[in-house]
Amino acid sequence: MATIRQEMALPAAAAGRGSALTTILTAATVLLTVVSLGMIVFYAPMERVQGVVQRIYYFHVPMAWVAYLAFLVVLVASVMYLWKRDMKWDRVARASVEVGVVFTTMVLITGMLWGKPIWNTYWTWDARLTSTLVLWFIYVAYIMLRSYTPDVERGARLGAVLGIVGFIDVPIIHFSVTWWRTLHPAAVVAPTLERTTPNAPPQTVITLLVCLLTMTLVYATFMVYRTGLERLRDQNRELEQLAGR
Amino acid sequence: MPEAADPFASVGYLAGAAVVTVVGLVGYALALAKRFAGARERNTVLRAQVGQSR
Repeated sequence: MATIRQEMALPAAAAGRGSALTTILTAATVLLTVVSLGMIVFYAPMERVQGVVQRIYYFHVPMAWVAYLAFLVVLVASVMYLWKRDMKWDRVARASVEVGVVFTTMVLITGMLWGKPIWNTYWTWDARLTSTLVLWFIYVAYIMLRSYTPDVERGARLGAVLGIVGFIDVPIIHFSVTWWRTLHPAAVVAPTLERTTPNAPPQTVITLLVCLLTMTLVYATFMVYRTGLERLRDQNRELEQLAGR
Repeated sequence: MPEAADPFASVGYLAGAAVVTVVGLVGYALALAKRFAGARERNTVLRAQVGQSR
């Protein structure tokens, strides 16, 4: 029994006892979320043409950034899994796919709510919007693939291949606004081929950077707990096998 | 830009997007906590079963 306890020792987050780092991360995320909301309402300047609705930008863009980041983590974890065949990398990929899909869903919905008053339509088959929808389908397919593959090793292998191939869509989304003529605007803060400095007031840039940091912390917090959950589930599977013997 | 000029409509879309973001993030966090609790409970039961069988 002692051996099983040692083998199956839970990480602090998985055991529900938040480690000091997890607690600090969660507290910092909550604090920064409050600061971001305050900056969006009271500090960010009013955009002259779009008015108040432009403030959707401060959560739409950071969520898109986090979705890119989440799928980049899936790419790296998938490559590492195929190389090392260590299930810890698969757990990271599984966790990051789910968090990435949550963020991509919110990017699509907030984008639609921003598009209606500005473009007079919730949706258009524009290159940026369509490629983002394709991204959402790719990673929903990943979740379905993992759910419907009972063999864990096989599921991890197939998932890793999809996680690597699926990432091809991320640069397509990012450069879609420069490669094709789109209704979706190009970046105004991030550097482009034409300019290296932001094309926006400093308050806009500062608010956006704070919101980017906040969403990145939200992602990191979700990942700590979601990876812990995957580890717990893997342990439960092993314990079920032991109990069934 | 049909509705952007209408401040009430603009505030409505902004509020809608804010609600989607908050409900999405808080809802996901709560769902995660619920799944965590379920998996932990199952873990405790399984550990007890394995302990008894040894």
